[in-house]
Amino acid sequence: MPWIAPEILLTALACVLLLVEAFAKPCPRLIGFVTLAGIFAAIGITIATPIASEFYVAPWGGLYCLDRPAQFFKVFFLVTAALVTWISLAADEESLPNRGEFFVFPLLTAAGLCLLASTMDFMVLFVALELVTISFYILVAYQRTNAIALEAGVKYLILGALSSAFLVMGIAYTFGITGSTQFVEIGRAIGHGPLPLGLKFGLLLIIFGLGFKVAAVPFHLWAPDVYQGAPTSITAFLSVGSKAAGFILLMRVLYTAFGSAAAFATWIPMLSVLAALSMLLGNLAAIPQRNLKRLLAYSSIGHSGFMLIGIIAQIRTPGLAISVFIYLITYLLANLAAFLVIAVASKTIRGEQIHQYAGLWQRSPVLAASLAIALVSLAGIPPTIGFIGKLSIFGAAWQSGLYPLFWIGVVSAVAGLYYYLGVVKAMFWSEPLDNTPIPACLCTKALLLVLSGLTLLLGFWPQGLQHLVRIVQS
Amino acid sequence: MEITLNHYLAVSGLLFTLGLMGVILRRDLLVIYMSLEMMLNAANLTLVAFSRFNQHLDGQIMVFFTITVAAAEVAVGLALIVALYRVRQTTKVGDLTTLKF
Repeated sequence: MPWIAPEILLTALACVLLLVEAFAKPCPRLIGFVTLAGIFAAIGITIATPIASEFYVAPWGGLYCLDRPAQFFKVFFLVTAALVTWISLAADEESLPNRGEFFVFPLLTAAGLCLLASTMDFMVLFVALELVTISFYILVAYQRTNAIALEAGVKYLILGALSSAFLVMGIAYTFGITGSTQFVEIGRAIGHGPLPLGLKFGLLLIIFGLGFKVAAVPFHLWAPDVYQGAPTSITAFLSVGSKAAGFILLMRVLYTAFGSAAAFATWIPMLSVLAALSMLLGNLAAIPQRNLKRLLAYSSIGHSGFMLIGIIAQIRTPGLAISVFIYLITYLLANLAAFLVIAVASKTIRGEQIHQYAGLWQRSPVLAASLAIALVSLAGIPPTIGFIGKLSIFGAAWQSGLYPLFWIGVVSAVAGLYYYLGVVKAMFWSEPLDNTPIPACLCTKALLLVLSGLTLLLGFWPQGLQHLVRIVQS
Repeated sequence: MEITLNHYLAVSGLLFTLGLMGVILRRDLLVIYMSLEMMLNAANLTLVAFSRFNQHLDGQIMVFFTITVAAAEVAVGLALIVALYRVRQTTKVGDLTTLKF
């Protein structure tokens, strides 16, 4: 079973580490480093696994597939998990109880995410999604004595469980009408005929459930609170890993199971409304925010809207889903760099308010420059990679004739410049509250250099990115 | 009168709506959580009904997974609510206002 080896490795390692943690009480950092090693091993296995030439191989009667997009997303999730573990190690949050376990849960989350990248069946989808979500409930509320973290955890729990209920109901109706839970079989059962009412209802509920995962408006209510209350490394994981998981699931479900013309007529309008609302509300609501993590939460809602355009564009002009992949890479680099800076800086600053970041340039040039590059990239200003991401999404919208979405996207991207650059302005051109330098270890600086370097380098040399993504698509 | 698929769907739809109303209207975390479980069970009823009337066993297998996952979710969820009660001495939604705009 070479296909599922990364998932098995991660789950087994998590179980072993939990037992070791319970009985031997090793140093928490050691567990962190073993976790990191395990994730790197999983990345190696994923890259080394040969991909069959046909569109998908489906062992176990079509429950699971390993095609190029699945491999891309697995590596994406594992890189995210590795960086998140790194952020946890760098932040070294002493306040966390049982810190050893804190490094183990990301392993389980990563295993669930890898499984999601390959799922071709609603049963596997549901179980893997819940593995991810339940691990996140624990991680978000990990600071058990902190009222804010607990409040964030409970809010995530209630809204997460609500979205699961919608998803199961949607799966039930889809299964009831088509008689199967496998995406390919559902697609075959729908055929070219019109969509029965029950199936439309099921599709609506499934989009509810997945819309929660990608934090698209109007299913975004949890995101700002949870992003603000969770430990910074977990916020980074939620904003990159959990969101990307929502997108691969949307692609699998909508393209494979609901891939007929009649189904398009049902879900394209729904997704267009979600995209437009997310872009507008995400970018406008971010403007008055004073908490940096909350600001990034609203910005991530806006980014969901941009990526949804890519999902819709693929239907009009096949091949344009590539823009979602490009956008996700740009989003990963910028967001993880930003959260790494926040995690390291809040050890000294003790807060995430934007005014506390005033004059960061004088206190720590490396952190300030990295955060500035990340924010400029998120805003989509050249010569950063974020510009390439925005360009490919807007290009896709224009090419496939989605003019209303194109213009809404451009307007919201311009509105987005205001709050991203507001933070940059505070960091460089405001007087610091106090002048104590913010220390950062050499490893953190090196990692920030790599992330910022890639953000700039791929911005100057986008062919590299396109080449990478073209390999994924072939 | 013969009980048909539509009767089951009506009952499960009713349960689902009741659960949703509970989540929206009630003000206590434990009651909200109970309503959420009711919604999940409504979905289970739908799955079993479809499975029974369409002669496909997949739906019933799915129900086993849903029940297991729901149990795990309850274990974590109740632990979270208990931890919250220890810190804040409340389980009322109206008191959870630390995180806001």
